[in-house]
Amino acid sequence: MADEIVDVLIIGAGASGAAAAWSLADTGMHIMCMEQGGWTRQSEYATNFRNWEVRRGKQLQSSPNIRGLKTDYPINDKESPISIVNFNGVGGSTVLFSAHFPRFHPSDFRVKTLDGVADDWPIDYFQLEPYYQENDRIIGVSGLDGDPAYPDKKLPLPPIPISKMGNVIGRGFNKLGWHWWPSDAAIISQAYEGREGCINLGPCNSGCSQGAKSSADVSYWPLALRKGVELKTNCRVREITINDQGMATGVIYYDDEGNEREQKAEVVIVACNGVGTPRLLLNSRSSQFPDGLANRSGLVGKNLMLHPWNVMDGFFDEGLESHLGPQGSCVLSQQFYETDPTRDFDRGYGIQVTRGSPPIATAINGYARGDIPWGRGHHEAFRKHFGTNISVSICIEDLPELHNSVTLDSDLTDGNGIPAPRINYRISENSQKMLAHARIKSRELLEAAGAWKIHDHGQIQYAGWHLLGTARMGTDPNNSVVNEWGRSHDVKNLFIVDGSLFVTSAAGNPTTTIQALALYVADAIKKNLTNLFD
Amino acid sequence: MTDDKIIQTDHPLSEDQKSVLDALLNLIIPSSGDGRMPGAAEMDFLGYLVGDESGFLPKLVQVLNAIVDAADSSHGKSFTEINESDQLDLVNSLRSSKGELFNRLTNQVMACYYQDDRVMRGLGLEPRPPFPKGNQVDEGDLSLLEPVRQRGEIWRKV
Repeated sequence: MADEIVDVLIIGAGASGAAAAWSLADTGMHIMCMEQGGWTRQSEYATNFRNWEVRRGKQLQSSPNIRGLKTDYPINDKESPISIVNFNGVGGSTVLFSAHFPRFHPSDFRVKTLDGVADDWPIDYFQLEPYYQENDRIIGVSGLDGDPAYPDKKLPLPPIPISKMGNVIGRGFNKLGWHWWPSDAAIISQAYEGREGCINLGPCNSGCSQGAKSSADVSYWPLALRKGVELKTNCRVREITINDQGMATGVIYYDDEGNEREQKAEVVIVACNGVGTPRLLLNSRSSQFPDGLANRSGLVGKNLMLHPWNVMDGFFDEGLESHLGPQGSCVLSQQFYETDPTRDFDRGYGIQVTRGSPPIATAINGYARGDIPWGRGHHEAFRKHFGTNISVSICIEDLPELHNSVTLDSDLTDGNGIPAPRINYRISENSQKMLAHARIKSRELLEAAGAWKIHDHGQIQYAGWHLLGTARMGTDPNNSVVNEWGRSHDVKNLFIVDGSLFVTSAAGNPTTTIQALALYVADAIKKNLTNLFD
Repeated sequence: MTDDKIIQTDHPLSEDQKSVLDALLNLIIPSSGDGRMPGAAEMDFLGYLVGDESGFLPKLVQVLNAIVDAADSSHGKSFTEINESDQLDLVNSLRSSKGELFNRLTNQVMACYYQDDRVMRGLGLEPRPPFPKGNQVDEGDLSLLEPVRQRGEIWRKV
């Protein structure tokens, strides 16, 4: 039985769905959001408990295949050196993200013009800038104004402490004459808008017990609900339905008891991330769209970008207390961000300096590396490795390639029998060259900072957080899935607001750009309400 | 000795197995000698496994049985009756042939040990969850950014 028709139905309550819902609530329309997961509770996060390090390894695992909750769907990523990680619930993957929050650069929107690779975006940095600012305000972004790697921007809150380790790595950067700056973070460094500030619990990527990390469930959602948005949790959408005129009419979904239901809507907005969105569109087949909804370009699910990630640890003589503080946010460098014709690769990478490991991780990882032995040397070796390490992560710009894709798996399904996504992904030759360059530079940095030992973890498998490019925006319907304001070229009342929209991936964590884009698309909908379907 | 000798009670090991386990734990992490850091045998390792990692118990029994069998065949004695140096040689020999099993055991021992209250205090840490008290960290010295400011804008104009 169909429920009451709503004006706007948003599928997915993560970073982008929350931002779009909050913005569209201004219209007074009946906005409904459906989310396949539920709410997480701060009181259940690992850092509430004495055995928090053991709990964080089990509870809210970042891989849906390992986590295996009822609210998760499996992902066949056997044909990818990077495994997909995410979270399904109110707030989406921001519940488990590290809150590193760099913006894109103006050049990121013009890579074809500047460097002759991939494609330009149909919008530019300065069109998006007001939405970045709006997002900064809602999130309560902490950071230091005046970063010379960006056009001017004013952040609402002062930076997260860089701490002793920031001093050490900063001196290393200075010795080399490289750019560095305190990271912009989606963490409130002091009390803000009714939330208490960060108290340096440590593992932001296990959920924030303090609520200082601005995951979408604690930042956007309380505001959106107050504005009247209806949020239905534990509802998994199977497909988007259309009528004879090729317009979306709503969705078919499963409620928490597994009952098949229908929800009618005037406008449908998809916000399921770069894997979930193409999965849903490809599963929404009909005689009008035999290859999947909104897929006349054939590009739904293509051009998947994942940001290959390298991590290198340096160990220092002095006690840095590096096991304390927000794990993913300390300082960043964009020294190698742009194309340099003297190098053997196009585009560049960002350097994200993150904090050290807590006691159990120090011991287990140190043992695995052969640094912390059994026996009489154990305590001395542990002492030398605990609180003394600085981690250098590399996020390289992954350029779009058609063969990197999300399709539907022919065998694997979720708990409701919906086909699971299948990932086919290869790290390109350009990316491999970039990773090789980044490894050399990471080592150079740690040596300049005075590390007595360096360990290269290499390219990380469980690093597929950034799911981008699989329904990209553009002005040409033959070469893009949605137009320059997020509306499907093929289905005039269907919009996409998540990372699927990205034309290129830039070289940094994408969430602030995802949310700015969602606000931009929502604003375009509001401005075009009278002729939205023309 | 075979796996079926595990005793499925609140105390899942026999007294002999428990003695071998204590000796093994002290080989993995002995006390520091200065009184600051306890040895791993002083932890309630079995309690930790029963409470949090019961799936590992059969693997633990495999390890202990392999040690008992090896001590018997190479020394004709119980593992606890041979000296520490020979114990270490024996266990290292087993580690080379059963590496994954011993690595998993080591990880469990580390996880148990490095959340114990005495160990936390020995490291100078408070034995408590991070929330709600939180942690103090040094602000850091933002004046170190002066050379970066002086070099001026580096963003690429479009």
